[in-house]
Amino acid sequence: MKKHIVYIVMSLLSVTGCVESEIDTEALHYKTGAAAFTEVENALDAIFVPLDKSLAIEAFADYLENNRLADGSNLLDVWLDAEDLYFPENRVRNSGDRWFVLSGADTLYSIDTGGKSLFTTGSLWRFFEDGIKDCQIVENLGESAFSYTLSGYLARIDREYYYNRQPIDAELRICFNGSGIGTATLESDFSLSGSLEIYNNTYYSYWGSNKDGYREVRMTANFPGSTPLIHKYYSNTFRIFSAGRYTINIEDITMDKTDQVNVSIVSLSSHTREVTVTFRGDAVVF
Amino acid sequence: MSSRKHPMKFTACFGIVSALFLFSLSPSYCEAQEVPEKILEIRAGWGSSPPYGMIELHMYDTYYPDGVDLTEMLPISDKYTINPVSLEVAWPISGRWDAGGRVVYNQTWQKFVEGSVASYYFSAEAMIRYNIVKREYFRLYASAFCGPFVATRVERTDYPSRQTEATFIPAELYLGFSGGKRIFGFCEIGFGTGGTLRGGVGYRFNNVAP
Repeated sequence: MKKHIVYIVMSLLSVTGCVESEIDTEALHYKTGAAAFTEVENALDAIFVPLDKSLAIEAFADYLENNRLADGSNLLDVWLDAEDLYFPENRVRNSGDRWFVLSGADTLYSIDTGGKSLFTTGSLWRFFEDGIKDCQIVENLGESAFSYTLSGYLARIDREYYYNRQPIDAELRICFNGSGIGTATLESDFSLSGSLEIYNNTYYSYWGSNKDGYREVRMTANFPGSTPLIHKYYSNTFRIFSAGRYTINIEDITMDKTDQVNVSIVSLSSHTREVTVTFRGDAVVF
Repeated sequence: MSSRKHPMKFTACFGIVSALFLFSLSPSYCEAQEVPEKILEIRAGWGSSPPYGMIELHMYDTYYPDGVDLTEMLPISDKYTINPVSLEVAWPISGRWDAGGRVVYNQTWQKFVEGSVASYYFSAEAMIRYNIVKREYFRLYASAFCGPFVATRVERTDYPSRQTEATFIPAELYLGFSGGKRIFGFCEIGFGTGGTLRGGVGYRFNNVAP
């Protein structure tokens, strides 16, 4: 019987000696660096709404000023034309220095101009959006430069089939190039420096999260003035920042960890770019 | 433990009970092939592809995040596993029914830039088996197992950690056959910690008095 048991054990050892490989690790990189870069770019794509609306109100007011008659007799017609031009889906009302943009009876947002044109150096406009406690501030620093401050702004981050409202704080300096500033920031040429903070509290998994399965992560992108992000508007690639170097500091609040991602964007010919994302020494180029 | 529900467990449990019940009623499957001796049987088995995810065991999954994750580690080796090995004991309790138990062990390991991770899996399960066909040299059977399962994940990195997860598996089902009299080989397919497809060798002691 001992002989038989020895046979069984030997058979077992012979099959268990066949260790199986389950996962191919060829050409693997950290995904965190690229994911952080994507989150920052998505945020940059979504944070200019208050600035765009401010530019639109400025254009609206300019249109009124330039087209209404001195006696005000055509004001209603000019007003309706301006609404069609700059806020075709909404209505615009004005009370003192404050402008209101309405959808039906609801105020979507309002802008306090402080009585100055947005293009007057030193002007400071405050943007108030329904459902957001803090106001967003646009300040003219002169020479086509603006200070753009976001506080708890709930940006609509586009996903493929839906958007996600993500709290964002930012202190940015935006310098427009050239004289033609339109009503859409991302359809202009400009440089951008400062900092941008994104807060996430997303479902993660059972492992490595708080007891509800969520993980709190704060990312702060720092765009130095020496290597600002450069945005050039091309009709088919208007979302692309074509040059710049910046860092993204990641703070995992739930796991009490911090790390940094370095991003380098180099402009190539034919309106393309090369992005190098480095995380923990692992560089990914795309 | 995760609070998520376990619909698969209920389905599997229901399936096992139904299958065993139908087998026990079906006369066509129960033609007399008597083995009168009471024989203690031991088996050593080896399986592949254990469905740990279906039993809510998370640490087996290699996690490659799509989003920002500072706990992410960069693999520099494949993930290896010995696959589940088991030792099983069975004892006849009636003409066609056997009862017993088994222990199952599995281990995985993988190297990362940050260190290495190894996971260890152990279960001890009670078993009930119905021999659909029971001849001297051949048996076709269905087995059901249940029991506790413990897994431990050990990270040997700059932030070493050891995590243990335990769960109770209410139902595992295998359909298999064995060939041989005293020394025999077997092959099974089913759902459980022993693997999806498993096989091995066994020995029947016939020195126990009936």
